[in-house]
Amino acid sequence: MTWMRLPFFVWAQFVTAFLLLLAFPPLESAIVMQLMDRVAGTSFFLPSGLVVNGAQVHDQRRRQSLCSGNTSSGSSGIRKFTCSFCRAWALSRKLSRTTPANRSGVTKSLVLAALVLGFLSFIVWAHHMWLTGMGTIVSAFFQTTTMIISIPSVIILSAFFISLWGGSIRFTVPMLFATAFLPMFGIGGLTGIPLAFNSADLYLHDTYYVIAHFHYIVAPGTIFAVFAGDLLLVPESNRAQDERFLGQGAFLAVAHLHERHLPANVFAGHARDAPPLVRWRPGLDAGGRESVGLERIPLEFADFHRRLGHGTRPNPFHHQLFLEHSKRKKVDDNPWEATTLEMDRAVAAAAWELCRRPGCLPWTVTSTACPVVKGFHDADRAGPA
Amino acid sequence: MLISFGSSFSHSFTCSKAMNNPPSTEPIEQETEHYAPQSHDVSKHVRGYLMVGATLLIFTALTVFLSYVNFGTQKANIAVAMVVATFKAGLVAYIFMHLSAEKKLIYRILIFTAIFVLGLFWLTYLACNAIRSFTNVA
Amino acid sequence: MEIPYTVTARPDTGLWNAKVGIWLFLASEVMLFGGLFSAYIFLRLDAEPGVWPHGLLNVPVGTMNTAILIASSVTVVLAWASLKMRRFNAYWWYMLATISCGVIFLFVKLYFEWPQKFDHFGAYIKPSALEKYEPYLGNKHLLSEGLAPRVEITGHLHNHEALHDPNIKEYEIGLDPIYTDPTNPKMDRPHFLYVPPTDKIAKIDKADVERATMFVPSHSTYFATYFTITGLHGLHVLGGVIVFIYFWLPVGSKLYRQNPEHLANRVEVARVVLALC
Repeated sequence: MTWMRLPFFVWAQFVTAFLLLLAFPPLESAIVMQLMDRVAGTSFFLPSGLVVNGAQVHDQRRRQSLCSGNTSSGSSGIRKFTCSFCRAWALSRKLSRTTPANRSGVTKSLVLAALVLGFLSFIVWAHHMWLTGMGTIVSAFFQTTTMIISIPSVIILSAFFISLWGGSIRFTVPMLFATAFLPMFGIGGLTGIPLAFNSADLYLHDTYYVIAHFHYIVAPGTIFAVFAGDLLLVPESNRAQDERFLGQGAFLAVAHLHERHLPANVFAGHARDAPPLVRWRPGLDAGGRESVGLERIPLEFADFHRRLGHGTRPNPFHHQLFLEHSKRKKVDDNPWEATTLEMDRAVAAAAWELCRRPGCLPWTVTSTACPVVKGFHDADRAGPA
Repeated sequence: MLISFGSSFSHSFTCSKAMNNPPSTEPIEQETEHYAPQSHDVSKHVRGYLMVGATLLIFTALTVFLSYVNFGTQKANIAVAMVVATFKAGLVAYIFMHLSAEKKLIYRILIFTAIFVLGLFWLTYLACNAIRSFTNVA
Repeated sequence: MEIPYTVTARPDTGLWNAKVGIWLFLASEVMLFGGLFSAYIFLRLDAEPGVWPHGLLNVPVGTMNTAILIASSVTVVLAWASLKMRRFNAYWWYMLATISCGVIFLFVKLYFEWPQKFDHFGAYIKPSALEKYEPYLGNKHLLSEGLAPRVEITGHLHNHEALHDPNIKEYEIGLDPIYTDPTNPKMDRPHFLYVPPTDKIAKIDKADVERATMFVPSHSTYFATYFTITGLHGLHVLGGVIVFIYFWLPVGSKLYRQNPEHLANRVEVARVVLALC
């Protein structure tokens, strides 16, 4: 096993771990400051009119500042990366089935782009808060870094496109989702460009345009990937009869996403329904309403569905998930006809037998006492049979 | 290429290796721990630790003294204080925490931290708006 | 079951496990405090001129507390060195010294430094009423010097009931020295030694006051930042004291008999985090 032979999903996880380590603590310090605001009555995040001493306001909205305030750098990068998790997972599996010829070049650029993306995501956070009154120098800095970060993103997307080249693609339902992701993500990325500029964002901030932009990025990146991955885990022999039904579901998902968000991109400017700015006092909940009593719980449930909408209301995928996990058929060793090691059930079964020995702990893989890894090394040296 | 690799591997692994060489069920032997004192002589470093401790105390006094000196602008005042504090922290990290004896892996982990923290401080300087003031800010 | 790589180095990293882990953790801690420090810098640099308080911290006590904590980091390194040299007695004494220094630090902070602030009172005067309190504020002198005007009167609050009772219409403050002699140039810069509030009483009408509290986190952003950072730091010191007590007591130090190198490594890991605090 070499670094470059790792699946891209593992690379994405690695960069995400790095982001979690270094980007969450500033978020934590922002949380501490907000806690002090609530508990001790300080005014770190409250507008300067409320408490004297002219402390520069960090952000007008406490919620927004928590996610993207001065001291919570990179949490937006975390969101980028948790997305890339899911998309990398499903996509790398999908795309490996088509087995392009020059895979190593694609992998290298993918990995490098992911690393650079992770690094840059630490220094772009203020693009969520152009309207907080930052000066021209600071906004110039963040506009530059935001534009630069689009480069590795485009490289990653292009690498995904390129990896389809030369393959013979079977449009199974997971593949439908994977290929649907590609242009949707592209649309999302392109609509983000006006938002990267302070001057254009002045008009787009807090409008549905922003909502549309990140839904085009996030929904394909996570939801499509999750559906594709889940469906991928179901062997094809179990799926044949549902294929048409599910294919319609895939179409529904894409159409629905377009229906909800494309108008916002086109008719930009519809202001978002913002809650009124209520000065928080003890007795209110996070939304400014009078404090949460037990009677609100059923209300909250219904509201949850209203807000999340499509994901939580019954849809073909719920139906499919229920069906899949209720019927089982016998399958052979490689029902997915996968080409990578992690999908080979025979390998997994053999490894499981060995790993069940007493005293074999997860970190044993790094020592010469682990026969599974040793087997890989030996197979490497032996070469293809 | 990958298909052949995968199938050949699975074939060779499951059919020949696993079948002919059943896995051993003995417990894994763990690494033996060394009980002897470390080879690098710690006693030589003790005097160094005491000297570093004294240096830290001197620099604390220096910090207090510098807080009464006005370097012109507020930015400069804060910068001086942060430089002294960073130096002290670096000294602690280097000597007390043995960073000088660590391998490159640790440095590689920490270099990103250093870049991001210093970048964070630098950005706060950028964010300071120049306002007409009684005491000079910018 | 023995956890491997607590003493011997892992082949792929070249270090025993906890060393890598603790430096990763330390990286996140640096980012945490770095975030808070950058918040302080941000707030300090952008504060309106003259409203950022100065001279409110007791410098000699703070310096002494810092020196105590530095001494504790020296003693903990010597404790670790004693373990490496297999001198258990020396380790025991040095660890005791470390714990004592930590406890003294927390004691001074919680029973002296912080309460001294909680007992101090400050009232922000409304801009419309600033001339009325000119004898205490001395703003004409400050403006002629090109310095920022004072907007707050601080001191020792004599009638605590005034904070809660709306019927009491004024605060009785035992003024801080700076307000008894505001035009004296010596009062423009903060003093090194702490000077307590005087006995000169000033009566301030509640109607002229914008806000008035003791020196608590909600008093001003200055104190919010101060208490947040020192509070978080103090929590870290407390955690360290607890960990070191565990390694000092027989329950933790009995590991010395079985595997002294392991104990040395554990102490090293703990001291890596604490020495920075």
